[in-house]
Amino acid sequence: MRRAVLGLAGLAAGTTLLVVVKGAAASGPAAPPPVLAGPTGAVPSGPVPPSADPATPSPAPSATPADEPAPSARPSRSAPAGQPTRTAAAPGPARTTPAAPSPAAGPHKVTGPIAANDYGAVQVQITVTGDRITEIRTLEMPESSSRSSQLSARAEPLLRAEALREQGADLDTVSGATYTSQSYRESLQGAIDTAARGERG
Amino acid sequence: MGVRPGRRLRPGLRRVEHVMGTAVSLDLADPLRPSTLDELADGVFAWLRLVDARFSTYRDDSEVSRLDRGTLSLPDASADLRAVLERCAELWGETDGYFDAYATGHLDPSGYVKGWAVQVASDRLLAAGAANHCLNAGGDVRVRGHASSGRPWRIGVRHPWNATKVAWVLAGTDLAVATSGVYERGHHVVDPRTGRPARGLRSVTVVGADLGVADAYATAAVAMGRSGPDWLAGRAGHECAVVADDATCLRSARLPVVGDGGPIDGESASGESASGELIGGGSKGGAADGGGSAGGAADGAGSGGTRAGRGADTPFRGSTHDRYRTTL
Repeated sequence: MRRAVLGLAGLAAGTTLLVVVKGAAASGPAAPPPVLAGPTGAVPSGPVPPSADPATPSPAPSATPADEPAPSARPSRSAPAGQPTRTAAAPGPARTTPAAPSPAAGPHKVTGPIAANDYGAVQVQITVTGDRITEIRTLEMPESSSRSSQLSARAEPLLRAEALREQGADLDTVSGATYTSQSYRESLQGAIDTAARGERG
Repeated sequence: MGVRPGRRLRPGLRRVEHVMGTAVSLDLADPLRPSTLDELADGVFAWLRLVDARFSTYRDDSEVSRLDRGTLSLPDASADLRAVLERCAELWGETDGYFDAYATGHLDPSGYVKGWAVQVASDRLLAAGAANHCLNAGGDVRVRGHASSGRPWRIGVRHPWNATKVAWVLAGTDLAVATSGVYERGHHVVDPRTGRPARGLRSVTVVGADLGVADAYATAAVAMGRSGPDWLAGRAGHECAVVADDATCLRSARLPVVGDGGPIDGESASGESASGELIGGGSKGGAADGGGSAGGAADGAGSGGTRAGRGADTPFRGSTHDRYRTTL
C-alpha cells in the first residue's frame, strides 16, 4: 500500500521532469533547453554510453558506503499531494554536457544535470536525432549516492557544516551516547560530578 | 564540612545514582531547604527506578519483557506502558519507520523511554517548585532555569572520539538535549529497513522541548545514516548537531551554541551557500555546490506546510507494523 503510493509519487515526479524536458525542447534548436546548456566543442558523432559520459559522475564518489544497500526506494516523508516538486531546481551548476548537435548529426545521447527533489535525485538522458528528441530515459540512481550523501535543497539553508572541534571547560553537564555505569567513571560527566562534590556539603 | 578551601558553597543539591543501567546525575539549583531538596531528589530516583522495573529489556519480570513474551496482555499493563507504546507508534510514523521499537525483532522502546522518563521527572520538579534543575540520565539531558552559578545551564556535546572533550557547548534555560551515537556501545542502532547495524553517522544530538521525542529523533537519525541530517533539518522546533563517520560535522543554524564567537545568530545562515556539501566528505565538485541555495531558501515555507500535513498521517501503515495495531 505504502510502496504503491510512493511508486506513484515517484512516477509523478518523473513525469513532471519529462514534461519539463519536452517543454524546453519544444522551443526549438535556436533556444537550447536548460539540460543542454554548456555547449562544448566536442560533439560526439555517435551514441555515448552513459558510463563514458563525463557529465554523469556520482555527486559524491567517496560518500557511497557499500553498507547502504537501499533495498527499496526511500519513502517520501512528506505528503506527496500539494508538495511542489523541484524538478527544475538542479542542486549544482549546469553540468558540462555535449552540445546540441547540428541538424545533420546522427542520433546521440545527452545526459542532463542531476536534479534533486523530495523523492531523491533524478537524472535524465535524452537521445537526440537531428533536432528532435527521439528517446527520454530516466537514469537509475543508487539511493546511497542520490539521497543520503547530499543534503536536499531544503535542508541546506538550515544546516551548516563545521570542522570537528575539541572544546572543554566550564560545563554543567554533558550530553552523549548512553554510557554504561563503568564508562561513566572515565567520562567527562563523571569528572564534572566528582569536581562538584567538593563544592557542596 | 567537606568543602574545599576557596570554594563557594553553592545552594541546592547534587546527586548521582546508578539506575536504568547508567549513571544519572541530578543538579537541583534552587535554594530550597535541604530536607525539601532531599525529598525532591528521592522522588526523581524512585520514579526512574520504577521506570526501569517496568520498561527494562534486561529484566525478565518487567512489563516490557512480559508483554513481549505474551505473558502480559496490554489491558493489564500500566497506563505508562500503554502511553509509551502509543507514542512509539506515533514516532514510528513521524520517522518514516526509522524509529522502531521492534527494530530488533523484540519490543524494545528504550530509545524513547529514557528520555521520556527524564522529561516526566523534570516536569514534576518544575511543578513542585524546583524550576532550576539539570537532570542527566546517561547523556540524555533536560535543563530548566539556571545553574546555581546564576547563568543558563551549559551543556557540552561529547566529542565522539575523545571522551574528555566536547565538540559543542550549548546553553539555555529550557532545553532537552539527547544524543545517540555508536561510540559507547558500538553499532547498536539497527536500521529497521535492513535489520543491520546503522552506519554513516557517529553521533547525533537533537535539541528540543521534549526529551523523549529528542531521544527518538536522535536514534532515528542514526538509523537513517547519511540522510539523517537532511531529515532532522525538517523537524520543526528541533535543532541538531551531527558528526559523521568521516568526522564531518553538521549542525543546525539555530543550535543554541556558545563558545567561539558567542551565541550563533540564526538569521545569518541564509547567506551561506556552501554549507550543504560537507556531510558527503569528498563530495567537492559534486552537485551540491552552491547552486541549490536559492531554491532551498524558497522551500522553507513549503516544508512547514509538509509538517503540518504530517499530523494527519496514521502511523499504522505497512504490513510489518501490524504489531503496533495488535498491541494497541
